[in-house]
Amino acid sequence: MHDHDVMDSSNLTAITASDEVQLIRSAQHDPGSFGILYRRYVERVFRYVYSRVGSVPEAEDLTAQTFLSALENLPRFRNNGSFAAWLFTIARSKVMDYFRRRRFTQRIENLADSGKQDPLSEIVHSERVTALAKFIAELSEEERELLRLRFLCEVTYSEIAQVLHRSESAVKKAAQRTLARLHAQMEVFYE
Amino acid sequence: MSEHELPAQSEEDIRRAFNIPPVRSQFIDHLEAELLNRWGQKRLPGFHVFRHRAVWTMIPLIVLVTAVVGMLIWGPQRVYAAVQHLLGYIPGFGLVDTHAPVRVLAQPVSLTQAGVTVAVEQAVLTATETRIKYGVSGVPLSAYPQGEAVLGCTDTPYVILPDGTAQALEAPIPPDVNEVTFVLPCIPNTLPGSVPSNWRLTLRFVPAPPEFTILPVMDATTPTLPVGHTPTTSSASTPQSHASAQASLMVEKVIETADGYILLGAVRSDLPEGQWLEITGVPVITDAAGNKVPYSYPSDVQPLNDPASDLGTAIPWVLQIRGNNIEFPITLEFPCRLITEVALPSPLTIPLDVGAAPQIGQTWTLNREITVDRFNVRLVSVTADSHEGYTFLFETTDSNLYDLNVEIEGALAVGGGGGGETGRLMKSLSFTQRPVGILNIRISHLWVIAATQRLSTTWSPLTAHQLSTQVPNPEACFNAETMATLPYVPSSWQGTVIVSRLNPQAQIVQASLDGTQQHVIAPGSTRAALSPKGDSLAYVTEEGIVIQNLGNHEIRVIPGQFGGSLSWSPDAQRIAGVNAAGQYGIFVLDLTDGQIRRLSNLGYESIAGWSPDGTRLYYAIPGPAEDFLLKAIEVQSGTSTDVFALENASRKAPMAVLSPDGQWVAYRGRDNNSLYLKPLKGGPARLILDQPGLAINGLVWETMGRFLGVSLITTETPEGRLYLIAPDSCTAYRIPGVSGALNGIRIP
Repeated sequence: MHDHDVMDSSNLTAITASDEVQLIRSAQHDPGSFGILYRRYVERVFRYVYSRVGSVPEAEDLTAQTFLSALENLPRFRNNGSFAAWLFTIARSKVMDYFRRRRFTQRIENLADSGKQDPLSEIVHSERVTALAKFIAELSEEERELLRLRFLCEVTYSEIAQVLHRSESAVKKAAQRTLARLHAQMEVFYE
Repeated sequence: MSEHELPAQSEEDIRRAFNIPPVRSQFIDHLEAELLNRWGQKRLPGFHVFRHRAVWTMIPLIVLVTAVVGMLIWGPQRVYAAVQHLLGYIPGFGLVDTHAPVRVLAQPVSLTQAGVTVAVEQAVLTATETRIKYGVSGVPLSAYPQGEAVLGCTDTPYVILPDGTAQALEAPIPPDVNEVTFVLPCIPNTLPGSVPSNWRLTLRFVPAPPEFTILPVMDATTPTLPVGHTPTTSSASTPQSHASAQASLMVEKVIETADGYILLGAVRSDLPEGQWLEITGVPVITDAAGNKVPYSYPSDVQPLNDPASDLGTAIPWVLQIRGNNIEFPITLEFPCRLITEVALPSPLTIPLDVGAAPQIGQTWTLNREITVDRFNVRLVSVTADSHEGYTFLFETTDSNLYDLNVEIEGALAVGGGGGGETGRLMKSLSFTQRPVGILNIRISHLWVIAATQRLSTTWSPLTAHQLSTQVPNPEACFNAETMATLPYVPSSWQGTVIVSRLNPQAQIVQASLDGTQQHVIAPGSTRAALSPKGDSLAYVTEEGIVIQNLGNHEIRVIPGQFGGSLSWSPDAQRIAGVNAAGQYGIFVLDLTDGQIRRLSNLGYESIAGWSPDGTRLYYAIPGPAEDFLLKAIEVQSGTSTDVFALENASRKAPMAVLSPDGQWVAYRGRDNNSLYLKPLKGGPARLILDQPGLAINGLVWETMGRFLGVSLITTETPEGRLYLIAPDSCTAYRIPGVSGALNGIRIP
């Protein structure tokens, strides 16, 4: 966890929905409130963006773009919508724009194959996680996006529905199918 | 496991399976500081903020795309700099962040292996990004996969710093690093082993010299310029038929170029939920005198990454105008229409029994008339498609019906699509498994075109901006104005003109020089080559190469499969062309014995002509640096050499043609509308025609080499108006009565 004199992430997760509404309103004239909002979401936005582009520098840049965009547009945010859905809609748009502007989408992390490991990577892969990663890679892009939004961005199904412009029931059904399939694959793996 | 939830351990496993590294605390802290600094600047007086408008859902449909010939790749613009409002414009590169010194490539670098050249022509380094402009030339078509099923090389280039660190091409290079290794793992899209791979070039950087042009990107609406310069701009919301709809068009930023302006703006809307604005056509710009102002989409400037566009609530645009003879203010108009969603009070359900095992392609004709809101619509048919779903065909006589939503009750679609034309609407739904049995086709919503309108705004530049000379290039023989006054070819002149046309169908037409005696000599063909003496014509058909005697109309067919770009040798004994017998490259067909020799292997060579002694062929290919290269190939040995780059050449197709005496090469300019002439021995190209019409669609030398024949697309003559140009004397004539793309001219 990072050092900061404002709330750490454990405190931030305790913020209720109505607290967040207040935060957003006050963020327009109180930088401290904006800072709280930022701290609440920055890691989740980074996780989502990195999962799409696979490069730390690119993910950091796109995360920065997302928050800059959110800052500019904060006065226009409608409080009857979900801030998380709004923010991740911006993040998705930034990522799609990034891919549109690149001719190729080869993830730069393939450089690791040349012996240059990403010095920031600290993930320890268990056998189970490795198998799960393989099954996730075999999902459709739509299914992977559901998993990203649900588990990396930690947003609700209602918020996912807002981001994907689908009904909440459709999102729940799709998620249930995907999770059931992963669960079944993992059970077979351990037979 | 509950319906939607996993055990906490499983959720954690899924997160770990994505292999996301921890976020750097330095990054979090730094970005927070930047954001708070930006938050503070937002509140300073005079800081440019977007206009306060309620923002509603809008689907952007306009795409401003400019095709670029060749393979030139550089990095994307960064919105980061845009928000900081410290943007500059580098012609040929685009918008860059200028809050820190800019560095550039010390000198271009290239490497050629096996006939393929990779060149890095230019680079711009700022504090926040790197843009490297590199290109590839000389890759044969055979190196690329045929069809979509096979993927070619997708590895992206990167750079290696002196300490061995590899980083993305666009990542900022540390200010103390002035030499890197550019690595191109493989030529994009090529098949493994087809061309050399693992290209490495050393790049060196220097501070941008004083003469390096960086133009400021200025606010169009907030005065930020020296006293005395007062921009005027206004925005008007066009009154709309729908009382609750608001939309506006704004010019928001401007770049003053040497000969005009680049305008950046956005279409913004303020619409209630369920409505959106759709741009339906190209913008129109008129000046204060009511004249249309031509504009272009600058290929080196992308619309600013407006935060509102991320939410689909604004459509940014960028246009470039040249200030020649424009009376300001100018008015910009964007045609658009308002789309409104209408929910039916109760959904319509149409049952259809497709049976237990519908087959792909099986169609059920319903012709069911239904009334949807106030629209009469007919569900014509339903077809089982190849995507585990169905395609629904609707017809309506009401042109204001924009779209319908279609569902099958109880079946969750995983994909779909649609399209159509006026009066016909096709909707498709695809499923994991095609639903069978009785389908309840459900329509619950439709979208209608509620209003059509034109959004407009006016703009004037700062008065003190001195544009470069507004007079036509003094070196050019002719421009649009002087072309319009040219006399007709003297009636005493005899001769033959060969043109190709597409309307009403592809055909090659022969006509006399006065435009009379026109007759179709090759229906179905699109390009022909006139022999050096003008007595025979060669063109490609499905049967092979046809040689037609223009005197006695005798025809000889050389059977086989041939491409195009035919060119007669000076002695008329051979014909060169591109692609033959299923092989890529230049070939030479010997008319005496029918033998075919292959000289090269690219597949997209454009033959310019033969040397007068018939020993060399000249041809053009895209170069690695946004140019076209003229090359020469020895017919006997097949050895190819570079001649020179065709400066200012069209990026699409320069149509280079060599004069019969081998002294000159004429070609089409970058705007596809100008004509250049360059001496083959070297030296600068001379502008002969300066934007004489809309575009040049045909360029040939008259058989004796005294004139250049040019066919010019104009508003009045879209097929091509014909001219003879004598470049050394700047004399020209118009050929009356016949139009088309010029293939050949003979004047005995």
